[in-house]
Amino acid sequence: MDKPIEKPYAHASNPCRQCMPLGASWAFKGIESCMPVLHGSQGCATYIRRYMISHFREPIDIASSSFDETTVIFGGEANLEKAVLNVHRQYHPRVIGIGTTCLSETIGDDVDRFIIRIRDKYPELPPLIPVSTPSYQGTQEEGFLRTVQGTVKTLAGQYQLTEEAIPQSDGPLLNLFMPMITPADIRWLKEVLSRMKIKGTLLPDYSDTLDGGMWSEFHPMPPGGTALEQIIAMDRADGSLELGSDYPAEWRPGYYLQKRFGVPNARCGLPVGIDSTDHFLSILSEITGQEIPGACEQARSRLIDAYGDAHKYLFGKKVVLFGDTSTVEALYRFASEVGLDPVLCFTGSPSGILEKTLEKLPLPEASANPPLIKENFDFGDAEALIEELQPDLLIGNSKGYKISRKMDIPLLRVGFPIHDRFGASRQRMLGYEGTASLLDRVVNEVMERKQSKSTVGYTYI
Amino acid sequence: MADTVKTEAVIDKMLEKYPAKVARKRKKAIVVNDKDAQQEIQANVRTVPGIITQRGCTYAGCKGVVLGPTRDIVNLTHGPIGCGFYSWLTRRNQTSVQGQTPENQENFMTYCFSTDMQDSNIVFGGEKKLRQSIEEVYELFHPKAIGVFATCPVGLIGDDIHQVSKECTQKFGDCNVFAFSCEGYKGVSQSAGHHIANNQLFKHVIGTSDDYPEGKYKINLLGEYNIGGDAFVIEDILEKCGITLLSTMSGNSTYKGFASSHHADLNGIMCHRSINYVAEMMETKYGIPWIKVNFIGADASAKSLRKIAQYFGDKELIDRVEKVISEEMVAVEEARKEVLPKTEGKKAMLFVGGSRAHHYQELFKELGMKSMAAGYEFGHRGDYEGREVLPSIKVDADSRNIEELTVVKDEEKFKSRISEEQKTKLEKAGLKFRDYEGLMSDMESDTLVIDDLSHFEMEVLIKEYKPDVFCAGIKEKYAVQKMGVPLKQLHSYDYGGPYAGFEGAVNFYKDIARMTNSKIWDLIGAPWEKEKTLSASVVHDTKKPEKEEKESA
Ligand code: SF4
Ligand code: SF4
Repeated sequence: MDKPIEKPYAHASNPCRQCMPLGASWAFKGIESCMPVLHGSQGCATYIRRYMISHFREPIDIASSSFDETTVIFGGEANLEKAVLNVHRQYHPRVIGIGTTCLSETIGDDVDRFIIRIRDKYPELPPLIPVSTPSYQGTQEEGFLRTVQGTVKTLAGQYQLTEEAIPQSDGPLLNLFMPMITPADIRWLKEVLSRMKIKGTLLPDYSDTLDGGMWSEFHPMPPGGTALEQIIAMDRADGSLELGSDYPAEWRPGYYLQKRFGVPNARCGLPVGIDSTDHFLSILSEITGQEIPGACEQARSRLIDAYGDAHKYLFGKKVVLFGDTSTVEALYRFASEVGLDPVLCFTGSPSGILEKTLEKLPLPEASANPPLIKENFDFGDAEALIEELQPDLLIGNSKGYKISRKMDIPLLRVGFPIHDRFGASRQRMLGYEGTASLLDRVVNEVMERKQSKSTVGYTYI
Repeated sequence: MADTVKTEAVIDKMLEKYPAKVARKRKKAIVVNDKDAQQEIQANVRTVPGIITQRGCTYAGCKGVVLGPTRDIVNLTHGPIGCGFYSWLTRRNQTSVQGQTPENQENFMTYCFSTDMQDSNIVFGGEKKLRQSIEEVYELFHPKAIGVFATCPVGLIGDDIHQVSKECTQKFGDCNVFAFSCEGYKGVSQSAGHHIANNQLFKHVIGTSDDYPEGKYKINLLGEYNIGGDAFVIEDILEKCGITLLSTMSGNSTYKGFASSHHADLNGIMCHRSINYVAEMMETKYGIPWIKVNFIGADASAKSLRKIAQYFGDKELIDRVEKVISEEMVAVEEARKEVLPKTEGKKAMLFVGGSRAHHYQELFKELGMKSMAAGYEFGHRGDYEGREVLPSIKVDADSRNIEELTVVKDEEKFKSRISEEQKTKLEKAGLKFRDYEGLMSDMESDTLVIDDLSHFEMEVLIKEYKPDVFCAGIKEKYAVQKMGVPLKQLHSYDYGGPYAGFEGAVNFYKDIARMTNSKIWDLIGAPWEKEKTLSASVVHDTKKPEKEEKESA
């Protein structure tokens, strides 16, 4: 990564990002029977649990090594050992994920070394996955990626598998990595793979753990997630596909598998919109040699039809897009396709990736000027700009509400966190159908605004 | 829970998975209540690493609870971004600027300011960034006050936040900047943060202004945070009674209200846990006596109003209070009659906060429901066993961490409100000063009292007892509901409320009746699955086959 983008002033006001361990906890939740432990004071784990639970409306357990004043002085090894053992005794997880926090990093705990010693002392423990996630080095996005990569590094090809645990399939084996998307979108990805007869290992797969059904019996850990054996076997796949923005190679799990085990790797942006979904399906077909199912063609055609119908409502409407890098990039591509004019795109991440990516894309049809692209950007920074730009619509997470309310601009909730609308986990955006569902929401938001601002009160818009 | 054998068995189940040492420790925090005995419970001790607690950190208690709800103080978090982000407008304290003079209309509660520490600040120190941030915030708003809150890394890198704040105060001249060393690891829970907040509030704000509304009966309300609009309801009732509220700490609160609160003649404490320190210090320094009040529950509200009237001892006030009570009780009785058939005999469990697990039992009593298990997240022994145990509590390393202010009488501002003789007379008549009896004496015998209930223990409780409603917070909500038991959030009221006072009681009755009579949970298990298992099992929750019907993958 290049040098992070700096701000012209010292403070942050109304940030548009969260901290690394949140991303780590999220990713760990996509591994079957995995308990995340945040190494530091208990407050971080509590805050992050509360934040994620409010968004997903699901039980989310995250343990902590609960530092106290003496831990801060003498280091956290004893606490980590206790935490891991207690988690093991209570929940019997198959994997324990350990993310550091700002505190344990500041005191300089060497978690990798601790883990070697703890494992030596207690061979009965399940695999422990350490990830370094001090929030002063990155955002939730990076925490998520580092965790996926850390998981792959710790597990893939590192454990012996019994004969029956080795994945068998008539079709090709594919590793599929994605950034923070909704559980419903993961379910769609699984459906596509299954229709194409591809045996996929999706990591992380939180489609059940963070969006599960009722329990008819008690589960110490929510059912679902990528199985440990599947991750161990990732080195045997025929290929990997990474979804999301063009993150630096050193963050990426597929890149690691390619370098270490020679598993061919490809990457494409989130399949939102016609172009991106086309691209995704072709890559998928290319790496696996499988054909794209006919049903996709119909869904594609329906989506184009809907684009046509939506055109009169959307063309030239100014939108502001914000959230994490992959989401904003995907929304930008979608917006350009449907005739919206994305006047401002911003993210709280300071990585520089968004700007580099969007700059290369052609100017959207409806835009007279290139959009303003901002990174390491807060809602505090955005306020004045948005006031000036007077957009018709904001698309992003719930934290944009303050501006939306102040300036009377509608906000369509997409991304994380969504705490003031219902059904965040079930939102769809990926694939032709997902895009259609996003399109419907965008058009309806615009229609509703038009209707409510009309002096007559038309029911025919 | 008459079945003591079962109770013991459940306790065993809660402990059986712990290593022996942990089990021994946790056992001390679990008590089968005996109303008539003086029992000891372990409270306010560190959670064992790896045990999933619902507790937050010292920072959360300091910024989020005691100061957070004050609209015209700008809160600036000194630390990396997460801590500040997660505490951004997530508690449900309400505030209202309606009818306020323009200078009192400032509201910064919707903002989240952070120094957003980066790698280099951790290595080279963050004082410069802090100073610059304070100056920027000052330039932006020219607020009356800025509170600086330290998060974990700050204590380690050794930034002197107090010195920086002091220098800023001097430089600005019209803005009080003060800091809180409330690093998350400092204490056992939020509670340590409350204490730190109390101290700084007392040191830097209370007693600094003489601008206050006149009134015959002037009081402060302490430990009321205006969740779901509770403070608005209480403000209304007090006004109806002719009682002047100088300051609420801290619901719908303002800096100015705090500053002149030493002119009140009585402090009423709602949440004893979070704010008793301020009450104690105000009594020593300014001579303001305090009594415990509780406006959760219609009967409790009536009782609290009567206590206040009794303190002032004016016939005019006593009569007016009685009139207000009888007027308000009409609607309460009516609502109670309506819901009782739906709620009577049902069972509740309450695990929340440092006073709510106690106060809300009043409402359940009024609903004819039994509170079969309860405990606090961050209470101390005094909140369970009563204040009389305070002298016997050993000061441990964690409590020693938090500064105890030495407070002396302020010769200039001290005013004796009530003679010793009068005080004794009132005490004899049943009005107790500086007294809180705690939760245990109010709970029936053979109920369970558990401090810092862990997530794991909670799941055992739910599984074994299937209460009709479980009261806790958002972190527990979906786990409990997955098991078919409705959960009422008592931190945020499920974004409903108000539940305080008479009007609030009516709201609560209706909400609980609705929740405990919902048919949603009956839908669990598809009919074809039920048929299969009906003959196979007689247990309450019929076991579904291993595979749940999930959307096909
Ligand atoms: S770092 Fe410390 S202050 Fe921040 S949330 Fe974690 S425990 Fe609390
Ligand atoms: S200390 Fe770091 S890890 Fe913990 S909540 Fe704050 S920013 Fe996140």
